[in-house]
Amino acid sequence: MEPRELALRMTGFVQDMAQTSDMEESGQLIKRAMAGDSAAFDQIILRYQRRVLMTSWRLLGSREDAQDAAQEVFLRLYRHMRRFDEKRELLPWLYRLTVNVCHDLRRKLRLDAGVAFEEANHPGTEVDPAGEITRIEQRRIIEEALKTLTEKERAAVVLRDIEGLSTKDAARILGSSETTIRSQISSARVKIRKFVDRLEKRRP
Amino acid sequence: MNCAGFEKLIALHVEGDLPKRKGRAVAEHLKICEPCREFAEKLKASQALLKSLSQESVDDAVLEELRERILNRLGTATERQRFPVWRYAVGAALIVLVVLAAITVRRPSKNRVAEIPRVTSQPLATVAVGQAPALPRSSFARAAKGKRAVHRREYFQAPLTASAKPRQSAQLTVKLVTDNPNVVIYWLTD
Repeated sequence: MEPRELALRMTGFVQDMAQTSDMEESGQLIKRAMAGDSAAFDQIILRYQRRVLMTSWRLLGSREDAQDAAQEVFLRLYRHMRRFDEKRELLPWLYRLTVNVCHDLRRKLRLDAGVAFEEANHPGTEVDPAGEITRIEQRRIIEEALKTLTEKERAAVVLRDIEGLSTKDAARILGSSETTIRSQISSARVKIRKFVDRLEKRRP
Repeated sequence: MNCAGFEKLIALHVEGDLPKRKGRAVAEHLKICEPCREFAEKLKASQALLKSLSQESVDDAVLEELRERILNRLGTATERQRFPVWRYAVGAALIVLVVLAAITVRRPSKNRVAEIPRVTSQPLATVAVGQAPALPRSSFARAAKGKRAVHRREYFQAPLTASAKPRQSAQLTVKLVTDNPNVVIYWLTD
């Protein structure tokens, strides 16, 4: 066996082990939380809040809304944790909750999927004297590009490209087929690229 | 397929999301098409930026604030769960029921006492055997003639007919006269 292949297999093995351990731990935490152990639920919050908050942020495009969404995700988790199947992982369920909560919040806030890019939305955008786009600005551009996507495209690309899930997992979380998700992802990537191109052309 | 048709395939190809056969076809196209190759390079750059968002961190203070908010809300929710509103409603309803029951039990006893006419100290008693007085057509008399009275009589007579020759039944009538001339009480027995 090639050393590279062996390393890959070892990495996969370690990842599988970590995943199993994570699954067992979250299952135990949920079990304890259901029994009324508030410390166990606090552990769940500590473990997943960063990911839930960041995903909400990407999906909604606003930190304040993301905080509201993340709060609602954990409240829903608390209310419905009896439905949780211990044999499954908690994270995909949390992602699904996050996507649903963000969808509800967007509808509530009447956020339009096709928000146009505005220079005013870039208070922190800085261009260095050489005319090169700084890394911070590039990230901000990508964030704005995300806002030009439809809600479904955004959810697909956030889960696949930012959260690093497989197309299969993203499809399962979003309740769509892999083909649909692949189509949404490719469309989103092209839109993002073209958005960046348009901005670059507008630069002096 | 023209280059525009390749755009979406390239977007999947740069991340290895295409099946092998399609991936090979796109790779072949990229070898011969300069604009598509350029587009693929640009896509790789924007994808790198997109992925870099996952490295962004959030202040611990923000996370702490979020955790506090969640725990506060959960605390309120748990309190509500521990003492749900419906329990207060049920408690209040029970108290009202008990009070109503107490009032209802007391009230009829008072009324009955008030309604019973006073009987004279020495009531006139008429005993007649085998003959009933001509009763006024009151509800009492109708009831005596009714089915229930017949059933009752049969029930009490049954053991007699089984054991010995039944006696000729003698009816006892007691007439109670009260102060009120309009109120006369008849007591009929077999």
